[in-house]
Amino acid sequence: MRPTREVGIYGYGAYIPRYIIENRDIADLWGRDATPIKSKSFPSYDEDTITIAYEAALRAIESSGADPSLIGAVFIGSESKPYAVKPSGTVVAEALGLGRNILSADYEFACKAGTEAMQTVFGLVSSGMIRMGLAIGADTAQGRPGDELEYTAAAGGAAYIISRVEDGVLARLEASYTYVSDTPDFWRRSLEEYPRHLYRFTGEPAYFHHIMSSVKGLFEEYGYSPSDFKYAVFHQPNYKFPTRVAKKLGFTMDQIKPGLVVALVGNTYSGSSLLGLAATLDVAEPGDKILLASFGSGAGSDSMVFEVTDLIEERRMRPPVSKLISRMIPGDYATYAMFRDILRR
Amino acid sequence: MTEVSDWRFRRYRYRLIGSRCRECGETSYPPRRRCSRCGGATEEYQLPRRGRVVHYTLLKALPTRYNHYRPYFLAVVELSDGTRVIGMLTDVDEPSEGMEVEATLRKLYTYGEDGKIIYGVKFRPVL
Ligand SMILES: [Zn+2]
Repeated sequence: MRPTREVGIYGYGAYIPRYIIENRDIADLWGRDATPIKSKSFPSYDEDTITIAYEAALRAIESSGADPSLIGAVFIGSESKPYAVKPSGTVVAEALGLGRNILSADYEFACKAGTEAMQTVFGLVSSGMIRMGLAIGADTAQGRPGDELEYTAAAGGAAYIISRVEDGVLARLEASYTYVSDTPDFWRRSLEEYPRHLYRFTGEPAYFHHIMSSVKGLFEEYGYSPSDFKYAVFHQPNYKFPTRVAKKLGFTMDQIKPGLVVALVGNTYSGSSLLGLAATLDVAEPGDKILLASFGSGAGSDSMVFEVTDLIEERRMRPPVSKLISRMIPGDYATYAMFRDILRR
Repeated sequence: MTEVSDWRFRRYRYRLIGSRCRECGETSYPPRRRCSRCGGATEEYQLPRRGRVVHYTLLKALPTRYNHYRPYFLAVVELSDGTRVIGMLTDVDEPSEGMEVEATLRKLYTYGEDGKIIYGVKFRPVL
């Protein structure tokens, strides 16, 4: 997909809660040996998807100097909305001091909801319906205690202010692509606290098939190859999947390394690929091309190509993702269980 | 407070919007209609987000709606423009006087399992 009028990223921001729990601590509790990653973030008792979305969006606005009065949409992609019914975006918009004439909705497409929000804002900005828009992916994902997902389900998010290229962007969108199918790899029914997953579908039929199809589709339609890119970011449910899909598609470790934050942060679901993109923009130079490919269970993948502009130097997020990660402190399982409301007093 | 009166004050609770005296410039948060120093009329004023901890205390005895959120540190924060505000600290294990903090949005409390979630400004260490 290519919008009629060129659009891009005006500013970006990310946020990760302060606490991490070591995978080792979870594995010891359940008597398991191997762990998928080293540690994962978890939200403090007073954080949720709304506060994470706010932190990320605030950082995007402050770091880029965007005029909040020009923002005409706030879309939040998440699978852990604080309210089942009541939009998260209106709280975030009021807290940020945005105007009242804004479009707002919560998006849900498992881990792909954040890039879905971006695609929507690309269209709205390109058509001229709004001048700028905020697309946010944020989650405080939960795995059932003892379940495979408990090792990786993490909290964090990233926000992107999208504008037309003529308003000055730090990265220009060259093209995007999408690929979806009805695949039952992961779901959570209404009123259920934890999701379920079918292993039969998790790897090849879900993650790999959809990301490969969306990236290959993008490459065929617009004539790209892996060597065109300085960096690539893939959805990061664990460490193994993004490194393997990169290799299968012909990308090197050097290309994916800056955006591969999963080993310490975990899978931030709707925030995952967007957080990886933020970490990549933190180090990107003018002229660099970046490939972004999300994945959401259910299932689908959005892929996008960005070219970084000269404005990156003045608009980089402060502080960078690496600083957000280095400030994190370990919490034990008891703290984790209390903050996550698994244990109550 | 109720779910309704909480809603009415959300603007000030979300965004550190205080007041400034039109006569002498005195600022305050929460906002006041009349200046505490000279009695002059005031106007709305957006306070800066950054400041430092001047004084703090650990609160343990709290209304039941804070149950999930106790104990917490309550602090006097001097903002970068000199305004002193009282606010909750978060993401802090051991505060110190002079600690640099910035305002952020966090959950304050909820009205039970099915009631409203009340969000508001808290201060956390500068990232
Ligand atoms: Zn006065």
